[in-house]
Amino acid sequence: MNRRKALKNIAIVSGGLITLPQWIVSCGMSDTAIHQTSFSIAEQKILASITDTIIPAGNSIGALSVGVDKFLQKLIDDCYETDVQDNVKAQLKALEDSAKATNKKSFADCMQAQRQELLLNLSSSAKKEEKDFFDLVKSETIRGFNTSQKVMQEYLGYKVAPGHFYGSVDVNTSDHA
Amino acid sequence: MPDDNKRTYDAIVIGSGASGGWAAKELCDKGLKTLILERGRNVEHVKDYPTASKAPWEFDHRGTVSIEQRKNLQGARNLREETLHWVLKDDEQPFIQEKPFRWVRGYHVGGKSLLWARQTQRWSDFDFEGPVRDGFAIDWPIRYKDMEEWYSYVEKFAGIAGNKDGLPELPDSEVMPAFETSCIENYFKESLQKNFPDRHLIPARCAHITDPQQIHIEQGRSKCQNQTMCNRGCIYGAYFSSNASTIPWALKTGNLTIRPHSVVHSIIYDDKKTKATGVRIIDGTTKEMIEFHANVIFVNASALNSNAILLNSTSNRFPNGLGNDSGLLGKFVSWHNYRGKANASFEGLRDKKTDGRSPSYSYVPRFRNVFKQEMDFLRGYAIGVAGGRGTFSNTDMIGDQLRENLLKPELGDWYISTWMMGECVPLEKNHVRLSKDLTDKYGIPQLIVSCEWSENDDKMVADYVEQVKLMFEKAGFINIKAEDTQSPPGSDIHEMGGVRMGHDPKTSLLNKWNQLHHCKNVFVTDGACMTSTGSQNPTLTFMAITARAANYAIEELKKGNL
Repeated sequence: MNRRKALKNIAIVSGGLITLPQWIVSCGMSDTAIHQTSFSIAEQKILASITDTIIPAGNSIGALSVGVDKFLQKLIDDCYETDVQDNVKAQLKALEDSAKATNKKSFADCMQAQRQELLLNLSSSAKKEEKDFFDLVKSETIRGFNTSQKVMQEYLGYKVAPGHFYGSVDVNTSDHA
Repeated sequence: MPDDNKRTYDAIVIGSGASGGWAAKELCDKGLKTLILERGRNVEHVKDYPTASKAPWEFDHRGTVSIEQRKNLQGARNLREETLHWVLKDDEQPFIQEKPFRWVRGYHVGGKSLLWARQTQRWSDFDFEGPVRDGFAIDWPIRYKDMEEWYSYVEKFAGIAGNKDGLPELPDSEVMPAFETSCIENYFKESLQKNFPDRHLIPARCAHITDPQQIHIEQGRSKCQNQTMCNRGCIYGAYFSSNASTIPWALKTGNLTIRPHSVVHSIIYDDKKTKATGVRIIDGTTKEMIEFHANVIFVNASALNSNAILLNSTSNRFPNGLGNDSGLLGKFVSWHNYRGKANASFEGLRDKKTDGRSPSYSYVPRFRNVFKQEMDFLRGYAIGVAGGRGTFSNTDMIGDQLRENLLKPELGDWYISTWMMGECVPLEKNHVRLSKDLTDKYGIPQLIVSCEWSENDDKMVADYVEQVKLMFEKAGFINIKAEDTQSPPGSDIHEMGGVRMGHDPKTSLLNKWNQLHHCKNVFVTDGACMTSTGSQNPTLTFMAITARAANYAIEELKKGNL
């Protein structure tokens, strides 16, 4: 049952006592609202490419198709302290530099395998700032992907209001409507 | 905001949480013009639940609170975007922790009734008779027979999901169908039956509507939709809160006025009339002091704040706080011991999973020292139990395989977690008092909280840790972890006492009807009135005590006794 329908039902059972607030009625919210970002166009491009490298779309959906790049920009801008933000930007630049040194190409223009290798170098780096950067973008990319509308609803069977709890069902049973 | 030209009411209720809401409902139902003074902002059911029923992707930061928003909230724990609108600002009411104490407050209309865990277990005489049997605190002036009809009364109106379990230590409630317990909880229940016949696992009774009755429909409430987003406020009114239930009901009578942003300073005592005549507030916005008058006053400001208000209500007759001839006001503060936590996993039941979400838990009522004293500590603990089957995605890699793993998580092992809900024995040294020199931004003295664990608490935690390990081992669970988290007092959000009930004015503040012994038109019916703490989640008992006291107050008013 989607929320709109659920609300319609409650209005009926409660005899219309409940007024629907404006934010529910007008709620056509996108995954992440547009906002002013501190990331330059070049930085945005590399960050987007990183999320695409961590979770590429393949034949289905990936980080970019569910807006994880925009989510990361907003999250890092608003929720992380300045020292973390500075390190993210420094690492974006360093990554671009090493892409050019290794592959003679911008990071975003490298093949998936090349980008993957550049990133994995950071994951096993002895330098704390490189490892921290990798761990942050990977874990937040996964979070952004896993909490996106498309993944939650179409792949993970998420419902805002499931309307039931069954404590014991056979594993082969498909999800209940 | 109501018109302040009207200053006189029949009754004033301080606080709008679970107990204050009940006081207002009963008083208004019986025709008394009633004023609720609430120190925080107004919260109207549904309209003021900005995050209710929102999916995770509808939050800008998917739940993380931004640095900007965290600024005046340094003292808060577990900040989330979903519930940010309830969090108390650091500068609202600073207090002094003489010893570490977590004081969680809900300062808005509805109070903590919007934030509670909604668990509603009745007390039995094994609880009410505890102090006199085991020789601690003082005897309760009431017994289960005094409370039984009032438990039923509030349960029918609030709506309780649960079973009729027939357990003497946990009397049955008026119930609607219980939420199902999960496969692993059922399995654990069977294991307990076999290995520990005195330990009963039941679906916890909880204040959720699972089968709406006429009385709930009249309140505008409907069936729980298993969103499990309760602490944001529920658009279905499926769980009990003042906002969904008692307050709109009282408003419908036309007898209720709610004044938000009214920080209570003190209760006014008239030496000539030898009774309380009203309440002084500081307007939260203008900081102006205003007086309101009434014949009867209910104090439901939440346990510690009710203590603070009474301590600050000084007069010639009561220089040490209203009704405080015994000198015990603020003493024997107690709480619940939630220090013990445990979890484990289970490799069995591979062919089963759960479907949907449950807003409730399982519950093992107290089994230590119930029928007789048998341990080297007093009283005992109930256990909360939650179990389910997790999913698992291997995220060791990046790239195509990572995506496939995230989109097709595998069913993992079953997990189970338990938490201890221990009865604390009230001690005189655990107390609150007012600071002589520090005030808050309203000019009200800051509260000093001086509470600490006792040896009895330590022994009880050790027993919990040992017993849960044993129960898990017998059930064949693995990866067992059980520990004493050493969390400070107050972490349970069940602070109680300080204005306790009793027979004797020399050893208690309130009589069996929750009237101050020495100022009979003031009733204290929130957690502050508790003589002992039991091990049950206490809100149901506060609500029942309040409904009982309010109806008594109405009778006494009619008789001209107040």
